[in-house]
Amino acid sequence: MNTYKPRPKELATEYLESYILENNLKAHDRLPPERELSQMWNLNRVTLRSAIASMEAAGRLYSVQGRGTMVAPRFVRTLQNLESFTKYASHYEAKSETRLLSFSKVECDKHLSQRFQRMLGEKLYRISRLRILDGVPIMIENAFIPCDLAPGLEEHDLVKGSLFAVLERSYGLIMDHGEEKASITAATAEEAEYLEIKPDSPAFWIVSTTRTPDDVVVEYCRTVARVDVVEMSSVLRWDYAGGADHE
Amino acid sequence: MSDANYKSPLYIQLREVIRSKIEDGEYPVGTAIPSESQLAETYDLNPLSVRSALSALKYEGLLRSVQGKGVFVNGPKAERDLETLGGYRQTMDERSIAAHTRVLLKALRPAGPYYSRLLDLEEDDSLWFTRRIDYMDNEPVALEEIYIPEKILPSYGDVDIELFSIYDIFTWNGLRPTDADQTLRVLFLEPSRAKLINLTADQAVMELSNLTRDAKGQKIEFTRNYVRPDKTEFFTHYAKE
Repeated sequence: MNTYKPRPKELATEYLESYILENNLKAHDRLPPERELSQMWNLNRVTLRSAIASMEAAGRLYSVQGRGTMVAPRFVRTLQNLESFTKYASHYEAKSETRLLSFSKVECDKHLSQRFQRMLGEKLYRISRLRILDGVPIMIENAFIPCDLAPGLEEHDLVKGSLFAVLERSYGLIMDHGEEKASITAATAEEAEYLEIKPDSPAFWIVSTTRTPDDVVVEYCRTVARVDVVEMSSVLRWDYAGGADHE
Repeated sequence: MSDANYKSPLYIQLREVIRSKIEDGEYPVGTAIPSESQLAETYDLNPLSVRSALSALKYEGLLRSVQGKGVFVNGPKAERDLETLGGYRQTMDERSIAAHTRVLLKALRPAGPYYSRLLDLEEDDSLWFTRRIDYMDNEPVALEEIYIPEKILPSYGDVDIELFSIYDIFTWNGLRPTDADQTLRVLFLEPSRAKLINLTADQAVMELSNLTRDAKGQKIEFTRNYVRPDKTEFFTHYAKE
């Protein structure tokens, strides 16, 4: 059988990743100086530098002149849950902030009417919010909610409070289950400005539909998220016929 | 943000015009849409606005450029269900899309500092390392890098993984993958790897990584799948806990 010898740069990357794991380095924690690392791992400094550069390009590390190389902040968004942004931020001990970009009423176009299974022209609230963690704008959420399900929604505070909590408490709408699709888009000039990235740079494009226990579509949401600081996670479970193995 | 009105920048309005022509079937799947200069003339826009409108739709996978031929409407994406069993092959086979994979490299390597930590091994333990390309309708759609501890699948080296899925091989060895931690990222590949799936280094890819466990909680596989964003989207269901 063939054997494969990792190339020096690959190996350098593996050393760096393992260092971060082993020392449980968090966002903004600093790596030891290059000289020290190259001695510790017996790696050529040029190779090490090139591995660091690639990890910077991938959003894993960042460098500040005179301060060294640090672990870049990354926020993991869990696909399969319905928790609020504030609660989400608390996992990171991050300061969360929400800016209401717009709140308006729109009519169902063909696409929206299919999503909601409603007639063309029915009224929807459209709520556009920018989510910020520790001062870093991470995503823009554009939520659509049928006006007749939540009349007077504009009276509620959707900046400090959670939208789903308002829907449950004030309108008795329980957000129970839904589905989500993730793909890539190019940030428009407007999105890029809010997210503080370059126009046309790639962004996550996440579309979700959330329903009540009896399957009424309450919210349809289109999210544009930064890819340099956001990653998404999920747990895949194999569903065997006759039930999963329990040992 | 997809909804446009007459106050929206012209390139966004044009983007939505093209999108609805695709949805309405006026621009059918597999055919070329009017050229950039024709679009610029029809709507009296400058070529830059036309290009911006098209570039967003290419990113979404609705359109794709074919060198020297024009801009075409893409066919439906192969949905990859995050919650169903099986790997890529199973998903694609189920949907009967002509799929095959080509193995570029299949070899033993030492687990080394990182993969030993990730997969609960010693640094000197051996790993099967596989690099392969997945094709759909003869087009490369994903670059896969697969790491499997040798002690988990000693016979892996003998199996033709262009014909059988790794999931099959696990099953043959009495292993049942039960759950996997998955992470989805967007990143840029180095030019040499991007080229393998017909992308340039300035085109982003989606990376799905999977750390898979069996019923005993033993880590049996780590994969990184670099997927062309215009070919696949990731789909999942969620429910209140």
